[in-house]
Amino acid sequence: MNIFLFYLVMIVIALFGAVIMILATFIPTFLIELPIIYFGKITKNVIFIAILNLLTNVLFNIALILLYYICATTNFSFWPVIIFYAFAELLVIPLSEAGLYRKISDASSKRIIAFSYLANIASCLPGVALSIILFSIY
Amino acid sequence: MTYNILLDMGWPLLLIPAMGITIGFVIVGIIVAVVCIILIRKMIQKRRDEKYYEEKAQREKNESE
Repeated sequence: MNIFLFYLVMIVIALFGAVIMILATFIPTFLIELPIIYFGKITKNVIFIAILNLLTNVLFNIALILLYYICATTNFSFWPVIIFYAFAELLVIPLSEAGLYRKISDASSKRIIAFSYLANIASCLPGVALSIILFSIY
Repeated sequence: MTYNILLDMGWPLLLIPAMGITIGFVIVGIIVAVVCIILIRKMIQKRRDEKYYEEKAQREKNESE
């Protein structure tokens, strides 16, 4: 195979990966998490909510895809992915988001944590289904 | 006879598109994450400044009363 053709194919595939990244982060952020946090009256700053959720989703997805790649290319089982999913969605992401919301919001801490958990669990469920479909390429 | 290493690889050939997707995914993700971190820091700083000036105005009002 011509090596330049190979590079071209790799670039096209990488662009496909970039599109998947954008879909996998923007769809749950704007369709699920943003309305829950906004109508939960945590803060009126829509841009802050969107950017914060984008950041957590992006970091989560980067870690998830790298873990997926490691698991697919070695003899690991997929348990590390499941453990990572649960640990991130149930502990790290909601609490870190709640901590950052507290810096900008006037709502009570309990309310912030409750809505942060609600938003993340709601976005996690379609995320699991989407990741099963998208990452089945591995 | 030409030797094609890619065809000779067999099933690990499938890992090449997986690697490409992972690379594109991670590069775009890092760019988005850096932009988000910069914007979040700016917004938190702005809110902190607003609170500071509100408190200062309140304090001055109380002192004048």
